[in-house]
This record gives sequence, structure tokens and C-alpha cells, in this order.
Amino acid sequence: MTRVGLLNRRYAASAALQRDGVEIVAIGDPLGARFNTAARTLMLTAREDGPGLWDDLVGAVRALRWRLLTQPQPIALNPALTDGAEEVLRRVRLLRGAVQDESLLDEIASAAVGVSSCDPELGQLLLRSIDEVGVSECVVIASNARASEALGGWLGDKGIEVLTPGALERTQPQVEQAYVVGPPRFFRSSLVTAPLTNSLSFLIPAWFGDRQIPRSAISAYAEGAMRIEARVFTEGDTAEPEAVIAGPVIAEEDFLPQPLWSPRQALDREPGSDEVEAHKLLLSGGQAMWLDDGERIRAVDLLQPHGERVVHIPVSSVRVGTYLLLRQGETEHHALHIAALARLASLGPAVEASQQSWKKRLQQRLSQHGQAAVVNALRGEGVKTAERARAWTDPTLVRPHSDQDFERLLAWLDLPIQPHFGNATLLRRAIYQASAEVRVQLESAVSAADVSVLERDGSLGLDLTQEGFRGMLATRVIAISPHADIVPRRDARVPFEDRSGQWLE
Amino acid sequence: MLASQSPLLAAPLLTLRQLAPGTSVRAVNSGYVVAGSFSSLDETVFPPRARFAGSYWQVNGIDAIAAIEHLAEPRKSPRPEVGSIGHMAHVDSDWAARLAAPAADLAIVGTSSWLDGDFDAWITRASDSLAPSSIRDLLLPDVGPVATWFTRIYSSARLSEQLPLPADLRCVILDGFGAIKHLGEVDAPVVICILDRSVADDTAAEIVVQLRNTHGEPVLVREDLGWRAPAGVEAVAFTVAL
Repeated sequence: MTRVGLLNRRYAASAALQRDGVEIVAIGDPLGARFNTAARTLMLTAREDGPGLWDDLVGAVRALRWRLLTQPQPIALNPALTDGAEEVLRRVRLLRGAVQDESLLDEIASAAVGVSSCDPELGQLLLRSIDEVGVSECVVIASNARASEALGGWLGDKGIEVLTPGALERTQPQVEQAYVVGPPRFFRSSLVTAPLTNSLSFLIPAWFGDRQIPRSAISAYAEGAMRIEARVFTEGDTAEPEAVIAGPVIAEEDFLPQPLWSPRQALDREPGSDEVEAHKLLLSGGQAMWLDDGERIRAVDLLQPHGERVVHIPVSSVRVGTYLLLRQGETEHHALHIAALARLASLGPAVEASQQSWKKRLQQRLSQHGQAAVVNALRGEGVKTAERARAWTDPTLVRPHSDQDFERLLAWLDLPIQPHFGNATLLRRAIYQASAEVRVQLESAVSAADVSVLERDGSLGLDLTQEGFRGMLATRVIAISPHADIVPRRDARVPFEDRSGQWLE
Repeated sequence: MLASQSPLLAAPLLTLRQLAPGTSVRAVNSGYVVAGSFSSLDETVFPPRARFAGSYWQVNGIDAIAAIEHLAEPRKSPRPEVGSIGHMAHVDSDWAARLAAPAADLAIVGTSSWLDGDFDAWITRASDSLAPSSIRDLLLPDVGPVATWFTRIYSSARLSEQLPLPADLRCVILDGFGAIKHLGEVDAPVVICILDRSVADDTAAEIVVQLRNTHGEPVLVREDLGWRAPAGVEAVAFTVAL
């Protein structure tokens, strides 16, 4: 089908969902409901007792609950469920004697045994639903690559296609019906706001109460906003344990598998000249990185065609799910900076000196007056991006993007516009040229790589020939710390081993 | 492009008389658009003949001619057709002048191989008796050695190496996430962001909404702009002080 044809089909599907809504089928699942209630009691107890003691058990329980919602294959084909239950039991054993509430531990343990000893009701519902429309008329959508692989191992033999939302976009199967395994809120809004099928059904266990349908990010402000309604159908034994009906509410976010963030450092000081404020990013494959608010960072956009996948994105647009391209051992910007200075040949030392001169003076002003005062003063001078003042001290961030901002900054620093302006612009051009060369090589390395491996494993090493750029790593961001810390500048943007994301993925 | 003012060009013979040899020109006749260096005008023959872009041309066959910035190599392209949509926009009456002296004030940033595919599509008004318009002929992208162009094309993947964009652009279309990421670095009177809802990542939408909520003055799409979005299309409009 042509691109125009595919687009027309998508608009027709959008109109169908806007008219008819999506379906949510909730299946009674007494064993899962019991585990959910135990999980809730645990969360309340952990909340009262504060962090520390219960963290590992809470992490294991959240992971198992997530799998109950997203991997409903029969027990014999469901190591995720049995291993998850094992892990809960192990954590329970470790807490025996350490906590007062033995009866809570007993309940969690027996509920975990319960859910891992019977084939999940949700899986049975999925099979019945597929039978109703016929194997060739539908596609099953799993929440992530791991769930997709597990469900595919079960349903693939029956000729049923199981895809992640990303794979659905790439393959665009021409079927009428999609069955989504998991609650709507576990999925990106695009699944319902830009659908590929005229009918979409979410299958969930009845104990999962949150049935909100995601909306498009602009729907609150848009004319013609896409607002998709849900029709909810309930099947089977849905009697809920009474404890769920009464008692305080726990937000669904608190039940989701979460990363372990180290406690926030006191940010009562400003970063020194060799330090930066940075957010910690957890990456696939047990790695992490500090990301400062500096120069753009390289990323891979898997939805783009060959030759246009390697992109440079502003730090502010890095999200969970972004694939970053990182240089192992050292930042790419540092290497680019060196390559650019080499390109400038005899001009290099003068450019470096003039860069150092204005950056040093800006750093002095920051140390002397503090960031807030500097930002205010620059704003007063008409510098539009004044909030970037600290970022501009970074040696690898060449200059403010806007000519006007840079001129006003130099004037405020009591420095002549030239040669600083000209030199910085020269350096920027040289970095762009060096960067373009690296991008061409990265494009060919990414084109040669197997994208499905990257999506499945979350990270992939790439080999380049250019000196200084060997050993690039493409890796998915799986969590971003909500708070910034102060770290040495040399530690920023370099991946390192970290297990804080063990409960994620 | 279609909304830009019609260029005011003198009659071809008058323009040619004023030209110094070596000046680059762009000329349009019934079959071609030609651009290249002007060498001479011969009015001793009838009809008068001009030599430019390496060939002789009959002046009475030239529909429009204009001096342009220096061009090293001569270029020749078939004359683009105006078609159904051009008629709708009333650019058919001065089409030759527009081809000779285009406003060239539109840029599109997007995935270049997809854009290239889109340029090969045709567009028409429902039940129009006129031939459909080729999107390539309407936009005239500045891709390859073309003799005239209306629209600059940038690949999102390479944009960060090409910023800042030229200051003479009146409108920039940022097509998709990869282009919209650069919204903060694009200063044009009109910026159109095309948000692809099928992309799982809402970052592009968040960038636009954040700009609207922090610096924007809302504009009503239907009342103020007189545009009714078709079903399935969401639209947000606002102004931001430059």
C-alpha cells in the first residue's frame, strides 16, 4: 500500500474509534485479586514504616503484579510468572524474623503461590476472544518486547501475530481487530489516538481498577481533539475481597515497577567550575549515566528510514524510551571538540584561548553572584535563553545558539564582541563538520545493525572506523531521575554499571 | 508560496537591455525554465535574440526573465505545470513571473526520503476539470540542480549541522518529531509543526504545548484562521513574540 493509502486507512480507523470507542474486557480473576489485595496491604504497611526495610519485597511484588497484567500465558509457558513468584517467596523468607507482621508475609507468600500455580484467567479470555474473530483477522499487542516474545512463544504456534506497539507501527498488519494485553494506561496514547485497526479491545483482570483511556498530548488545547471513550464489559467471577473496597487509595503509579533512586543530595550549593547539575538516567543492560543540561546529545530514531536514523536532540527532549548513542569511556562531545580544534589547525590555539576567556569570566560571575542573580541580570540585558547561563560555561558547549543572545552575553561580560564571537562561530562550524562525518559513519553502523535486536535487548554496540569514535553504544533510556544532583563534569554523559533499574523492563 | 505577492517584472526585452554581460538570469518560456549567465542581446534581427545559459533564445518567446544571484553552472528544467491547485490559488495568471523570480521563502524540515516520496504525489480539487497539480511542481523543492525553486528542504537528521536557518524565510514547516525538536531555534514569522500522533513519543507535542503555555497567545483555528480541520486531525494555534 502507498503512504497515502496507509494514511487514509489510519484516518478511517481514527474516525471509527472516535465514533465507537474502544472496548475494555475485564475478566474475573480471584487468585490475582487476592495477590493484588496483599500487594496493597504491603504498600500501606511499607508507607507507614518508611523506606528501607520493605523495599526489596515491594520491588519483587510490583514486578510480579506487572507480569500478571502483561504476561497471561499458561503456567507451563510462563517462566516470568513462576520466577517472579519465586523471587517474592525469597524476599519473604529474608524478611522472616525481621518484621513484626508475620501474617502479612504469610498472606503475600500464599497469594504468590496461588497466582503461579494456575493458568491465568486473562490468558483464557485472550484465547476465547481470538477464536471469536478468527486467527487471521486479529493481532495481539503486548506491552513491551519481553511480553511480546513470551506471548509469541505461546500464540505463535497457533498462527497468531503478537507485536509490541513499536512493531505494530513498523509492520502495519492489515487486520480489523487488535487485542491489547494490559490496561490502557500501560500504553502510549498513540495506540488509541492513531489506531491501525477499526476495533481495539483491551483485556485486563477485573481487579485492575484504573480504566482511563490515554489522550493525545495536545487534546486539552486542540480543536477537533481526539477523545476516545471506553465500553467496559465484565466477565467471570469478579467478587473482590472486602479489604479492597474500604481503606485508603493507592495511586496506580505506586504499584508500577520502579527504579531505586539514591536519596537526593542536599542542593544547597551551586556547582563548582568542574561540576555540573545532572539527572541520572537508567539505561538498558544494567547501565546508567549522568545527563547534564548541556549540548545536544546523539540519539537513534528507529521509526525513521535508513540513512536518517541518527539524530541530535536537545537534552530536554530525552525521555524514557529514547535510544541514546553514547561513546563508551568518554563523551562524544569531548572527542568532537578535539577533532574540531584539529580541523582549525593553526587557528586552534587562538580559538581555544578566546573561548576560555569568556567562559572563565562567566564562571567567575556565577561564582561571585550566584546563578539566580546572573540569570536575572542577563534577562535584563535581553538575553532570551538566560536560564542556560551555567550550561554555557561547559567547554564543549560552544556558544549560545542565538547570535543576539551571544552578543548581549559578551557585552554583559564586558568583553569585545570580536574575536570571541567570530572564533566561537568558527569552532561551531568545525564541530558541525566533524559531527557530520561521525554521523555518516554512525548511520551506516546503525543501518547495518539489527534493529529488532536493539528493541528486544535495549542496547547494542556499534563499531566505527573513525579514530576516537570506536565503541559507540546504542541504549534505551528506561528511567530518568526526578531530581538533579551535582556531579563532576567528567562523569557526565559516560555510561557506567548500575543496578538501580533491576525491577524495570 | 501560493500566498506570496506576485513579483513585479519588467517586460523581458526591457530587462535584457539593462543587463550587464556576466549577470546571472533566470528565464521562463513555454517549455523550460533556464538559469545561467547572460552574455549578449542582439536587436539587429527580428525577433531579437538573447544569449544566456550557453544558448540563443528568441526574446518574444520568453514569458518572464529576472536577474538572480550568481550561478556558476547553467541549469535547465522543464517548465512546471500549474494544475488544479495553482488555479484555485490564482497563481496561474502570473505563473511564469513566479517561476522566474520566486519568493522562495518556505522551508520544510522533515525526513528527506519520505518528503521526496510525498513530492511525487498529485493533488486536485474534487471534480475539477483541470489536470491535477504535482506536489513537486507546486512546492518546487530546492533538491538537485533545478533551474528554479520555491522551497528549501532540510533533513531533520542533518538540521543541527545547518542551523541557523536563512533569515529570509517567511514560513518553516517542521514535519514530525525530529524537526520539532528544533522549534526553539527556528525564528520565522510562521512556523507550522506537524505532530504525528502515531509516534509513541509525545515529546514533540509537549514541546509545542509548553511553548503555547509559557509564551503563547492562543489563536482560534476555526474563527481566526478560518480553517476547519478534517476528522481525525487535531489543531492548536498560537502566536509567540519573536
